[in-house]
Amino acid sequence: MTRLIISSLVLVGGIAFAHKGSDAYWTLTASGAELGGQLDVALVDLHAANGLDDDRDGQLTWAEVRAHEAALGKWLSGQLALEQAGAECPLELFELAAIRHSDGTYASWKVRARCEAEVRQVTAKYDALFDVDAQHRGLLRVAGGEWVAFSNSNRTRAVEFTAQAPSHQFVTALLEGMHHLAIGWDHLCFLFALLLPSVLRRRERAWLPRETLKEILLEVTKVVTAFTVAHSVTLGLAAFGLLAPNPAFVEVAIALSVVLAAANTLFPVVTEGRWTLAFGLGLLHGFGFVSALTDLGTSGAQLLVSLVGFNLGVEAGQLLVVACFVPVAFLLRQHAWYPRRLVPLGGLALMLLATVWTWERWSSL
Amino acid sequence: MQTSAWVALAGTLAVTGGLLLFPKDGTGARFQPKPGEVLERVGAVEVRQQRTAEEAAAEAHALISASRAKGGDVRLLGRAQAVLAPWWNEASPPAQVRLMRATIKQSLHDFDGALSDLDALAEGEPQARLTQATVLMVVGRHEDAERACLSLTGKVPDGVIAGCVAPVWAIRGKTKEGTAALETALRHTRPDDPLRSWLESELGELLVWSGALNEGAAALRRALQLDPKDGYSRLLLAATLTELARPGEAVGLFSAPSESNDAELLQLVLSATAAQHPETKVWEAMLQERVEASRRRGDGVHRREESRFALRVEGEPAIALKLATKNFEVQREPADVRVLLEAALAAKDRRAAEPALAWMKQTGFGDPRLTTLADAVESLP
Repeated sequence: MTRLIISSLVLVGGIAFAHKGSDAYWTLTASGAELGGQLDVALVDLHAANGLDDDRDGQLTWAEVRAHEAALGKWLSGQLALEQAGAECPLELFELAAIRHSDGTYASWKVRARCEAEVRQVTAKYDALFDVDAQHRGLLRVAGGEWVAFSNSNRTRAVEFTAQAPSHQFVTALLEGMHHLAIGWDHLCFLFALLLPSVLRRRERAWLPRETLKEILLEVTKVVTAFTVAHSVTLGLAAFGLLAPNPAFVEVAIALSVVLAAANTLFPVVTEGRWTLAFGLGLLHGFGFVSALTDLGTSGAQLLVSLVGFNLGVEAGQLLVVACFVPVAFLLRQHAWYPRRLVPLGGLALMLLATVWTWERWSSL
Repeated sequence: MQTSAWVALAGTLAVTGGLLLFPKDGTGARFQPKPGEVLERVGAVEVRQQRTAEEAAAEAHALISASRAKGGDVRLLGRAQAVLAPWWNEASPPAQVRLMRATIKQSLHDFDGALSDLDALAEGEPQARLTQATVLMVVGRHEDAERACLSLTGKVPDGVIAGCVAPVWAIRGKTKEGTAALETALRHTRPDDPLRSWLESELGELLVWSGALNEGAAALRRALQLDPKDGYSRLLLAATLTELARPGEAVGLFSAPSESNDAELLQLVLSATAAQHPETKVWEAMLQERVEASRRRGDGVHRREESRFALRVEGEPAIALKLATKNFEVQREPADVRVLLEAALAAKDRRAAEPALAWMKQTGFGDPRLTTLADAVESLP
């Protein structure tokens, strides 16, 4: 009895909670009269509600989850509803997969609903799991907005979809792209490291100034275009989920790419075909842009608009850098100290800086 | 074109390709596991049936105990609440259900709700009376708490009464009486009595409140030796050791940070920062995620910890003060007073500290750390 008493006395005010409470994650975006999104529900919660451990061995395998796929999908879609002006928008869950969140593995469905008219405001209803866990929360996020919580006592919410005209979206993405390049020191330094020697030519282990502006512009164009094509490709593939490398590793790799580009400037190895470096290493930079793009919270056709806008923003930023740098370099290239001092020192400085970044990013892995 | 250029191209393509071998783990990537892959460990699931009030109360009790054993697991608490769903909104449910309802409400920091249930139960049930006493102390109704404790004379072991009333006495400025009562109770309990660890824990807290940090830490260590699972003592010991400028020892108390509850994780981060521990950033990221998850859910139970987090980790005194003020509306333990005073001092807002200063005057609580804080706040312009 004493233990009973003690356990009731301790743990009143101060102790907060151990593990995260039960949450489900629901995202929605609107495209015309259609709604699309994703619903993630924790496997432990699905098990508590439906009993998924068929062989009763205390372990939930993917096979056991798949065995219940149809029943779970039907059950869960009955717990959600989307209504537009009182009329239901038929909702379906499809393509079951697994996904990890901070507190365990979840079942993840894609969501699709079709309303009568273009979606501006809908009423969302969420009834799942409350009769098993009264502290469960259904967390809904609409098109990159804030999370709103459905709870046991609050199962209905009005949800707004701000219809962004494609042109507005495009401009937002464009500005975001420019902004991201402007704050992207690693991208700028990479570009800079490749451009520093672009007004020079390597002849018998010495740098000589290139003769004509045309020659210089050709070289610069090759480098910048190669970089642009490379990062556009990887950004596009990653944005649509076709490639998904670990962001932390990407950051380290990008820093390393700057080290390499700067090292090549300091110790010229690749002197004629620097566009190859710009291309190969530029692929990595594309992965570094992905998070900024996904933060815009678009999907489907709208994502394409955002992608194009974002890319153009990055290119515009790049062109600005080039337009500022090339004329100056063109004028300075004749001076002896440009090839003998500025380029090697610039290369060295960038290499050191990038090495520090690499170290920082590596140690925070 | 140069060979080296082609080599460079091939090399960089290889690197990029290699990068793709390390896909995003963690959130964001949907994937298809192998069929045999074990994804979660789970327990048995009750067949849902109509439960009687007794069955529901018993099941809820088991879930609450399991929740506490894990340091306060919200999922289990939510399951307990769901089990009581048929009675949850009833004005006068059966007594056993009502007691469980009160306990759940108390754990969710619905102290008013808990008290209204406990008041109705307290006459008959020592358990209810004890819980009532504790809740009364948390909300700052110290005289009522004392009365509730003493009314149990003869109905529960004397040691339990000592443990109930000692902190109340200490808060009301009678720390010596409180520690004396606990020491007497300890002398009269057998070495294997489970009551000992709780009494030592309380003794530790009272000693810390009186400014005797070393002796307090020693008592808390004894409590932990008797009950290694005592999360409350562990937390208090870690805080005390950090204040004694022994943060490394504090960090050593937490063996499994990812299993810790939010209050423990916060203390770990604070101690680790003080100790300049290499893992500090990792734990801070973990804590940040917990805080965000809690904010998304709209849980109101963490406000004390969130205020400390905002002040000590995020460096946001204004936010910390807002949280501390809201927290103080609900609970008024010495820790809540301290959090409010610290936030008000950092935000240089004397007026916001007034509820805490009033509490100090009214109770006569003598913790030297709090009196120093109160003096500092009062001397703000």
